[in-house]
Amino acid sequence: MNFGKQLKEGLLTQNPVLVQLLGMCSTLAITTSITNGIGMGVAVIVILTLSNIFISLLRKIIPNQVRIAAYIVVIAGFVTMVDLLLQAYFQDLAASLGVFIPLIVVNCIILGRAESFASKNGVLASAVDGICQGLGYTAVLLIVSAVRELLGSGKLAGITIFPAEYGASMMILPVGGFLVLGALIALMQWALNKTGKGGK
Amino acid sequence: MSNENMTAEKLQIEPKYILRLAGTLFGICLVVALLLGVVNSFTGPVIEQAQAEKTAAAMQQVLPADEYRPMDQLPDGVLSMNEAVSGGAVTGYVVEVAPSGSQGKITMLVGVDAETGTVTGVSVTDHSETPNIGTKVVDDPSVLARFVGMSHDGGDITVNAGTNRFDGVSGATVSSKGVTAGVNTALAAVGTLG
Repeated sequence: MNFGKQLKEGLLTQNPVLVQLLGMCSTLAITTSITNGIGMGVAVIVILTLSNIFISLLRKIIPNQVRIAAYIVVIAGFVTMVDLLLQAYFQDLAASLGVFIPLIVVNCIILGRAESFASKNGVLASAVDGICQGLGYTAVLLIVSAVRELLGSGKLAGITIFPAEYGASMMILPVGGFLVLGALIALMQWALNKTGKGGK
Repeated sequence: MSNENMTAEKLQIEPKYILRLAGTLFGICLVVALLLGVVNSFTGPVIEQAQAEKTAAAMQQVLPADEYRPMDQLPDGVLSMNEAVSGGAVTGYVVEVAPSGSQGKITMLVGVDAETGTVTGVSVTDHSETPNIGTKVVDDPSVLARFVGMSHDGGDITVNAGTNRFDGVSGATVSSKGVTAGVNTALAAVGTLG
């Protein structure tokens, strides 16, 4: 398999958030600080890669009629494991990500990749796909959370850049998430159309 | 696909195949459940210990004591209550309450002196208040410290009004009222002990 092509797809042309518009809920909710963005991104990369590997391994065993149920059980298993491990060894991160770790179970990116890629491709390709799509998701989280944290609270990854009093608290609120994500999607569509690789 | 086709397809499913469907799903669930059991068996104690340590540290912060004894009889609106014991005598109570803030429950510990009935400390252990707004109340020890020394001698504590007054944070009135309600509940709970 072509690692470079898959990486480019995950980060740009088939970016899960900006092009496939999957996983919007968690992207909007947790991107109030870069630390949250990295934590969530890493959790999704790990879960997505593991679930892709196992669903690819099981793709010939799982009957078509019960595939969605089987995928969800596999994904929920990995999510719960990551959740337990985070709570045990990274309590602060687990506290700030809160309910969004368990909610990775219903994050459309994971089920979407299981259904559209891992169930049709080999183990290695699926693992690479998991990493690349996960990286694409993480990249978007990082950009959105960096913009929101800087403009909203004057910090980057917890380091004060300018006093919080001058920040626009609106950027930390949900509305800020919609604004940044909307602008980013528009920018992405514009860039893809310009290079003639996206859209129609 | 039309309805007719669906029925035709359904009829073709043999009992054997149905068993295979159920069997595969059961097998996957079984393996996942086993793995989760293994993970839980070693993370469970770590999580429990960390939470116990966190609670103990918060208790020491609101009302330092040698020992905390959980109480069985809980007044209304109180999640848990501990007697703080120092040198063999009950010096006060640590009351856990969860009033509503602006985004959800604010779980907090309130230390109350047994003799004077005054607040010795307030610590918020869990909340989902708005960053940069509600957090100016719940994450700021200097704001929470304003409760120290207050009591129910002058009636319920009110926010930005009355004589028994708590000065809230402007812009975060709902969160300020939330923590105040929690302190009031805690003081009332200790008051019922007589």
